[in-house]
Amino acid sequence: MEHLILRDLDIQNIKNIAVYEEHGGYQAFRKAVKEMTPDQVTDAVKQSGLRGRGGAGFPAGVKWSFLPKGVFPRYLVVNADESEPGTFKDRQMMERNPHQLIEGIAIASYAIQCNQAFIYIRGEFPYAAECLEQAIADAESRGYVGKNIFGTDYHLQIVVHRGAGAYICGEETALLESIEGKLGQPRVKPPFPAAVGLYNKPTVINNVETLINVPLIIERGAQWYASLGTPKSTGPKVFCLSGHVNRPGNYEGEFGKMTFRELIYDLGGGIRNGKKLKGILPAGASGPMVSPLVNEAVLDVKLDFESLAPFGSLLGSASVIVLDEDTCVVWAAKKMLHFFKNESCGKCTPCREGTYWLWRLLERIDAGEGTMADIDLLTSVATQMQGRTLCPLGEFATSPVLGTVKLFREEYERHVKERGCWAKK
Amino acid sequence: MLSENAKTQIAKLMAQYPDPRSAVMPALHLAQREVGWLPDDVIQEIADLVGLAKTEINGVATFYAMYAREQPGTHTILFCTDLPCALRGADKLLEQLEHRLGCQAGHTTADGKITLKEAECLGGCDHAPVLLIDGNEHQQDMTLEKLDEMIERLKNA
Amino acid sequence: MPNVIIDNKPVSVPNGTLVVEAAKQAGVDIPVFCYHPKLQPVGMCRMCLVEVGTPKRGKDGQIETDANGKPVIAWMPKPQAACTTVVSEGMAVRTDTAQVADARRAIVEFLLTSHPLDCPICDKGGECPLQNLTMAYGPGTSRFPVESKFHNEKRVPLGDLIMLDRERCIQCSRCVRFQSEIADDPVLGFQARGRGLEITTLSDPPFDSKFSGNTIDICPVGALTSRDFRLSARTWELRDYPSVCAHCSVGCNLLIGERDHAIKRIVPRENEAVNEIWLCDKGRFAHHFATAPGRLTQPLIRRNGKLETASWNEALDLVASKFAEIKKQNGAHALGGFGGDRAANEDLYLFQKLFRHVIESPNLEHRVGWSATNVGADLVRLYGAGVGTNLGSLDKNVTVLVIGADPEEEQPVLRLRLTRSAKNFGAQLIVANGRVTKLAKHAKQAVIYRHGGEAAFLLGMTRAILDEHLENQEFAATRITNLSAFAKSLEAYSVEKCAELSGVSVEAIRGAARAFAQAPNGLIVYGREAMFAQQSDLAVASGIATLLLITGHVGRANNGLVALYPHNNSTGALDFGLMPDHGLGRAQLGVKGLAARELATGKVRALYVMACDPAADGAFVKPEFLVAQDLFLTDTAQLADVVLPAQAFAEREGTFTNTERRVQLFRAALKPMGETKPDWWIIAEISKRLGSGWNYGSAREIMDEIAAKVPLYAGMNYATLAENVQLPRPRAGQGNASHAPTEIAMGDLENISSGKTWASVAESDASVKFELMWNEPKGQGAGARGQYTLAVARVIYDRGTLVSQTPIVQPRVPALYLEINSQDAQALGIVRGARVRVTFEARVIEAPANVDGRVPPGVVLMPQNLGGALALPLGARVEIEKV
Repeated sequence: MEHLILRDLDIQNIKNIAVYEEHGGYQAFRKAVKEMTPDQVTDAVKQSGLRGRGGAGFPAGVKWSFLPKGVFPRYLVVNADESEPGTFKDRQMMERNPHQLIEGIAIASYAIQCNQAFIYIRGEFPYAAECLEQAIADAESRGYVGKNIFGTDYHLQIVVHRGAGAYICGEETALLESIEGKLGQPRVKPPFPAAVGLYNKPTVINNVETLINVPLIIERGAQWYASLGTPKSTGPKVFCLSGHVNRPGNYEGEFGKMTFRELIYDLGGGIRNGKKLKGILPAGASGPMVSPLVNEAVLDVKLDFESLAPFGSLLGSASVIVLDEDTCVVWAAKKMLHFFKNESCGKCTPCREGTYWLWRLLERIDAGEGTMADIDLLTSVATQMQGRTLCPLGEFATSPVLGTVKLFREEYERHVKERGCWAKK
Repeated sequence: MLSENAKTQIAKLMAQYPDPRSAVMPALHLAQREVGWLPDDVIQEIADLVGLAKTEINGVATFYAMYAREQPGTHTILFCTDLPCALRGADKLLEQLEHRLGCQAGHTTADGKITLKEAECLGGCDHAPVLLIDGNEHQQDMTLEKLDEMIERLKNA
Repeated sequence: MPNVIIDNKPVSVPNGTLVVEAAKQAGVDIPVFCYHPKLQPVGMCRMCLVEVGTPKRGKDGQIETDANGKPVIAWMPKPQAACTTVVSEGMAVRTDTAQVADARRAIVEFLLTSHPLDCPICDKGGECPLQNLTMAYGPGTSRFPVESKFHNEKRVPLGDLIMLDRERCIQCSRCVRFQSEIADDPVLGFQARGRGLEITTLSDPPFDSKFSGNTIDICPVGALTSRDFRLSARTWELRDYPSVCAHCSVGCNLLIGERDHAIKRIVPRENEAVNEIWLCDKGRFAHHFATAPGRLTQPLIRRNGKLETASWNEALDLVASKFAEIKKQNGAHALGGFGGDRAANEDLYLFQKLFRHVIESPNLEHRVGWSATNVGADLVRLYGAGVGTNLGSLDKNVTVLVIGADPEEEQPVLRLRLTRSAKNFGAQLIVANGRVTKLAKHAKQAVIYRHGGEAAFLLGMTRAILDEHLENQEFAATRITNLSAFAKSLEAYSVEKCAELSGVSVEAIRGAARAFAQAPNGLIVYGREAMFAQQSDLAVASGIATLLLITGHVGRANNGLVALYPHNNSTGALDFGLMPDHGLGRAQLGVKGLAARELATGKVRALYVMACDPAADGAFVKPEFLVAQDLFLTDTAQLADVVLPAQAFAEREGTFTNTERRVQLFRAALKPMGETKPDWWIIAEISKRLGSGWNYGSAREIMDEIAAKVPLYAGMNYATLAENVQLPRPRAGQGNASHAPTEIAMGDLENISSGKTWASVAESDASVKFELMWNEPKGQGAGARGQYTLAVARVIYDRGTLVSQTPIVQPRVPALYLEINSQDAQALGIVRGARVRVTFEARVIEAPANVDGRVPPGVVLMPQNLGGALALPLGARVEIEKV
């Protein structure tokens, strides 16, 4: 199968601008600027059904059209703060196929008529940032970025802005604060960034994987793009596979075609050491766990944004972490809460206090010092965080707890009864 | 103290953004590369250059995990212990690394060469366990042998 | 005006109103921690979560209605923060549901997980929003395992005045936002993140702000406490007395918290027209003079060269008999008096009455030191800012020209309010000075003139307005007698010439002129540096008057002049004619008495000094008979023949008139110390002994006489001034606990008298016509030989009698220093802290250098009220060298 996103797997050295050009690179951008109005570009993206790949799945074209008319300057911000545990797809795209992203950024910038775009890349990806800067410089040398692009009066500057270690900056308003040189703490919404965004100007924020799809839509047409995937979730999708599998990595498929069975057993080579599959975290640490041990049907669900809902979970950014039968879910939940506790920005009360509380409870239970009441307390504390936090981080942080208690409550009880973790014994 | 070159770079960064305050993070990165960490006088210098209060710069420098407000060793290792790495043996490997270095995570070796820190996900889960050296060099698919090689290299560098 | 329904109560509120504020209007209390009406909402604490819904619309876009014809409400699935949700038409809000109660219980439980259980020793106890809201909404017990508590530092000094308890902090950021949004000193910030998020300061000195004490008031827990008040009393043991600050002339309203006849603390009393809910740190902390051990408690008489205690009768008899004797021998002109501008109106009124009507001497003054002229008395009487001007809420229709002022140092709360007007309401500031001041940061236009060029700058503005025909022709036609003749007489002074003389560019002069003339409303705020300049250059006063008149910016609210005077009752001293050439109501007098310098240097045989210390302020020659009436044994009192112990503001009642001419009443809070007496009583007793037949029983009676005799004060009496003065702070343990978080900080606006302001001539008498006049600007300052121009300014923390009695603020009082531009410093080889020598004519002063960019090259600045620099005039040309 031809890769549409991970084209580096098919075309050697596509990160080189000449190679990218040989394979039709920047023709979509040329077409957009020379043959289409900005609104036509936006309409094409709307018709393609392209949904945001950051996890929420909001239609990208619709997002672009939210910008208030006539208010300038406006900005495009690329969310390259890929920090969800188990996610490493944007990194591959930036390191190995950066021009497709730059072209997507350029087309999106043209569509929303902004002249400055910022790529916010997490600080832990120094090499990816260098690749992007090189790609921007190369694009500039060919006239794809800079002044008077394709001889028109359109100009564009792209700035790579490095983060410095804060998961919360993946939340779009925290990301904006961070670019503005402040603590990465989310803003109150509304107002939404489309109206009051970066430097209080109208701003579109798109994920790397979202934008890398855009050249395809312009080049091959919205209809062709919409024919991929399902009617509600169109296009290709990259799945990150990690954990107890034989071949972890990024795998490209289509929405509504890929199943966990195919991803884990066919592409990923199955569970390491021939063990049984115990749990799947479809959205990294941020989505509830599903388990074929509890309901085997989950292995054959055609994956898209909505299809995991009946199993009490969601696809999110498709960062699939696989746990084998020897893994203790209390320990796994503790690991994830340790992450959320450390990454909570501290701005709102339920997240700041709740993540810390949940982590301490999980530590107690994992160490064999918990009580049966602690298990109820866990779910109670998690539940009382829900719906009350300022941003989704605090909401996500409840998933590891609620998901594992729901699926494997008896394992929690066993920790209490046996005064410790069975897996460590 | 920052070099004149660094100050020029920071001035350039300030011009790159619609609001010079945006240069705070890149300036801190730059200063940390040059000085090795972010002592008080550097925080003050950046505050003066960007036109903010020292307290405001300190806020940014302490919010983000990659900035060092305390003097680290010659090299800093960020060792990922998040779930995907932990599923592939990161916790045990970290213990072994601590043993080899003779210092716990969060501390610096007695010879001042290496600071070891636990890190949240470094985005290399397909090659877990992973670590990041000095904020710019990823090491992946870590094994005990690879750790030994790395320690040897860093200690002699 | 959207219509909103909150807990079934309909209310109509302005566009943009937050749900939390709309609820207040509907009589519904929504508990909050991070929200504060004076600060930008941040939605952090989540305590104010409520259910919010909007009218449901059908496919046709029409609002769906139920069987009763009422709109069907589409409720949002999650509760919303009332502090960040803006009302919309038809919005419905529920705060009385199980979901909301559960959210509040959850948030309080979260906040308390790691909160220490030290309420019994916490200063906030009894007036703590966290305590109150826990009682109202929290769970009875905690489910948090006690061994998991997050521990943090408990006693972190944030500078000399504030103590931080990091364990009590709930990370609401009120203090951080206050410092950046209101105080404009972003010296508090968060560091780290998550559960480790904590408040810190990295400024040098720590928490470097003149407003730090306000963070104690707005802190909703006991995290920030006063190092002065700390652990000295429980709040419910305090009795609060309404009073007025005795320091600068903003006249901040305050409450004296008294216990056991001592001031335990001072907190702001809300007055939206004066200080809102703020105090500066000087006003809050420097109250210890009132109860200082060094207070005079008995009359003293000099016997055999030594001051010895005496009875009141002995002392008063001696004063009266000496006054009578000297008058008899040399006439009344041989007596003179300094009635200091710290004394109350009642005292000053009687003091002048004693001299003018009993002793019959015109030798009256209230100012000492370099400022010994009565600068601006006439300007303010004629053109003072209109009644109803609120300097904290001036909007885009008001342009304020601030000239020769440094409000941050002269009147800190006023600077804070002008900044607020500019930042929040769009007031246009033009800040003109010979150096950079803090207010300039929020100015639409910042002008740096050459010292000595003030008048030329003002004249240039006038000329530019006339050139471009921007004068207010309607006003000129009816109220100005000589506009065209005036314009003609100005021909020799082109804008270009004024630019050259003032050192301000032609464009800047024209820009300022346009902004001021074209604004619907215009105010001029002028301060000590302009007043100083005015003493050596008459053209400054005429320049100010002319600008106000040709633009018609007089006689209405938000128009006219605000003069920044140094002391709490400088305005009162002017009002009651404590001047050699002006009498009651600032009326110009035919006779002219001796001026301050003459009084202080032995030109009279007997001198009566009340509430000031001329001997401390430069050359002083003791007259034959010297009477000092004060709180302390001042330098003057040490020389005196008779010393009379007066009462502090906290021990008596009276009125002060603030810089905006607002007359405000203060109440007694303390039992008088020793045998001390109110100033008015002492003056009356001396007067009686001189045969006056006065018989005043109280300050209140004197105010009644003032109201009858001084037209500016007509209609003012203690009843009208005290109207509605109530305690805004709910007594500890009383009132609706849920209301406390905002009410403790905000008070109850309606129930506070905002004082009474007298109207200027331009306002009170529409028939008065004005004549424009101008004086030739003098240009350069004295001593043209020096290379550097000396700027002299006031600093807030001074070496004065009152501040020196409060040890806790002493670290904030700087030693005398010389501020010099870094360029000049480099040229002279001067580094920060190096000693420099300042030479002016024969005078030489040495001080350490403070190198920074606030003074322009060629200018050096020395504070005027730190001693040492007193004798040097502003604008003097001085020589600077490294020692």
